[in-house]
Amino acid sequence: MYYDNPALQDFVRWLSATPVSHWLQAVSTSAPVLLATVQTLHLLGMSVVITANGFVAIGLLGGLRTGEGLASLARKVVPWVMTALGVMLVTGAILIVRWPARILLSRAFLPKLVLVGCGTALLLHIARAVDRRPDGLRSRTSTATVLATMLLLVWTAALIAGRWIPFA
Amino acid sequence: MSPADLGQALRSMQDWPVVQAIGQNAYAFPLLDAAHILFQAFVVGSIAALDLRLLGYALMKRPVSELVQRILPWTWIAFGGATVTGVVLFVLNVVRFVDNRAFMIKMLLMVLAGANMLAFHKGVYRTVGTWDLQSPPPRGARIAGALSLVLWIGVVFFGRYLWYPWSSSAGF
Repeated sequence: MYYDNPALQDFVRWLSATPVSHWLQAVSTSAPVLLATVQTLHLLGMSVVITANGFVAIGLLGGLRTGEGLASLARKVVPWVMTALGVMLVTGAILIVRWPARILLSRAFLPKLVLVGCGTALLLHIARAVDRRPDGLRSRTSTATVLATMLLLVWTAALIAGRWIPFA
Repeated sequence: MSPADLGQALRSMQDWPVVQAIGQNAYAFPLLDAAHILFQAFVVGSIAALDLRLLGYALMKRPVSELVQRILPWTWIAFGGATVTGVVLFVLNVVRFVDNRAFMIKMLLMVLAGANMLAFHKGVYRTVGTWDLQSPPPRGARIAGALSLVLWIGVVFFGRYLWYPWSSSAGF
């Protein structure tokens, strides 16, 4: 498996020995507030992603009681999700430098990245599909139900994989 | 009941068979934790969307009353899920949480966030018909939005911080 790859293990060893990683390890003890702040920013980014995708899925299932709002909702959430993913990328990189082995060698890390990629691609596909005129995606159709279910499942799985990283 | 008795009673919850069964299952804790984070993420994200609208930074073409009616029911469902999973996580980790100051601060911030929401609904929201699309919204609404945003960010922060060993009463 990828986490047994010698090149990855060499990289983890090298990253753990860098001055930045040493500094972050020391900060964990001397100023834990800093690392808790990075984790908070990561979680806030995740909140934006989960909420935005959740409401798009609810809209596709007809739970927002409006047909008109779906296209504008899907269009509006994309920049928010992309910005939040950017914040998660930066904060996630800091957390990797702090805990290289725990994160990079976890069996849950790669599945999380793949699921985040799939979820983002799915959201972009939905945003394009609802915007297409005159035959754009409408809520409560069978296609909309399938896409909403996939969106909910993929992002829930991505979150579970993320939370599983320390345990796997 | 004295605080010491309460602490002892809470600690004794760890001896309950159901708590021990969940604690011994390798998948139960990570799944419960993930479910709690999922619900909490939706609560914080959906409330933040309303807060940003009240502050005049987002969704300005949408009436506030419409957003409240559409968003809050889903927020309450997620809050219910976060509460149930949170209670189970508390019982599973009662020894860690019972004298954890970060946990106490998180609970206090949630109470304050609830009080702020109540004050908003009993106060400035009663006249929402007169400022539904006003830009920027009235001062009372902006203050409620700002307070809510700060309090919920605090809830997330202390929700993370309580897992650090330094957040116990001995070190925080």
